[in-house]
Amino acid sequence: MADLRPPATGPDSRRERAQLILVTGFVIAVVLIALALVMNSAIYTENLATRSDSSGATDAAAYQRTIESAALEAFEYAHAVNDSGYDGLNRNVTDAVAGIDAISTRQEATYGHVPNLSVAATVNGTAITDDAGVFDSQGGADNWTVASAISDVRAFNVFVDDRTDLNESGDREFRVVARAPTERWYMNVSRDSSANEIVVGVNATGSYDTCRRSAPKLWINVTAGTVDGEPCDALTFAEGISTSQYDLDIRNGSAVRGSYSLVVDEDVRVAYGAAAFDDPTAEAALYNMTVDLFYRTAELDYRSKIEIEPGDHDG
Amino acid sequence: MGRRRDRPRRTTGIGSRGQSTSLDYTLGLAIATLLVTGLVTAASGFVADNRQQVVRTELEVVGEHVANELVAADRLAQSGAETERLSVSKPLPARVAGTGYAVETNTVGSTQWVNLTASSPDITVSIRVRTATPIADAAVDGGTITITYDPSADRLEVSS
Repeated sequence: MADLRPPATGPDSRRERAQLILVTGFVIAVVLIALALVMNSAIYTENLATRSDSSGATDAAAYQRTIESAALEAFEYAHAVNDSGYDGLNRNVTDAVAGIDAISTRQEATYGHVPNLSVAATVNGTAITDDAGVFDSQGGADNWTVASAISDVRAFNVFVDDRTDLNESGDREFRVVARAPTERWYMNVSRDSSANEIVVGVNATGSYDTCRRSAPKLWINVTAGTVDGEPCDALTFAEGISTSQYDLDIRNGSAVRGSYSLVVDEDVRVAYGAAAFDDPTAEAALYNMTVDLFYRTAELDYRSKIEIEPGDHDG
Repeated sequence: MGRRRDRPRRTTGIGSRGQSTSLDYTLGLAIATLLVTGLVTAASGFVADNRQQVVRTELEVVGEHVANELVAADRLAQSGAETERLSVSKPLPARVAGTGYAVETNTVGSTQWVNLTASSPDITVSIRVRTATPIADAAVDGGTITITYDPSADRLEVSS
């Protein structure tokens, strides 16, 4: 039988057998190795925790925002420099987007990302403006149709130059009407002399609400729903019009002075002739532009469409 | 006085007490075994506790990565007029501290969760995710996961 420890004398006195301690030592060594492996996992975890997004999803989001902004600038610039109709506008925006694509592809390639941009579609529209005076038609009519058979309007801004030019509430107020065969939406602008306020009233599907402002002159951004720069809850353009097309009318155009501008999504220039001073004018404009965006990295495959439609969110 | 007669020394004894060799040996063995067992048990427990802690921490880290990718995918899916295709693959460790695990996405009411479950030791970690796009319920094994956006159903899906 083996001793736990060597005898003090005798032939075995110098032999250190101690198997139990050896086995224990071995087991403890194995346990310590296991502990080292676990600690290694912990270190790996801490390392993993410090790694940021590697798939490029954040870069793609940033890229998309940049492109949205750049394409919007390009779209507006194309209109600023163009005077040759839809072909010229389309050429301008296509060239501008191709330029953005070339630059951004080179920049993104540095990080191993592959983007691609192209103009997918544009919608021809008409920009209608009247810079000064009353809001009558080219023929001087007080009640007239600004655009027929349209389905959308953007960047519709009305500037009311002086409160005193407006009619009193309920008395032949200036009115903008979106008119479908069976539905009607309108916004009227009048004054309330007793309160010294401009009253913007909106009738949508039978309910009538107003927004009142005490400013003597103000901007109404009809499509963005703001009056004098402040949101007007009642003002949601063409709310309740369910048909795909409607007409846009002005009623009592002489009951206001100021200016207005809007872009409709149809070519309605034929209804307008050569504009004299103080008459509304209609020019070719793109209603919107759709840009196809691809973005690829080793781990990300993203394809999206960006719609460039200035004027709706500038309230 | 005569010379004291030398007693034969016991091979395992520590003196001249009245103790048999077998009892001495057995006692010594028992005490040593007790000590050694205690030491090994304590050490193993220490390792097991640490491993459990490491698995939990690593599941949390992996869960945060999954949640992060889901939120990034959601942001991409939401931006732009129309997202036609979105696929994000995320390489994750296949095992945490030597054990396999499963990633599960789960929506309870309006709250979305990413649950990670390790089998041995049995540990579950839940990470809350806030996305505007709904996340389809799914369960995949650890390793590289792929997050895709389904435009027709307007939801994010996790697959392996």
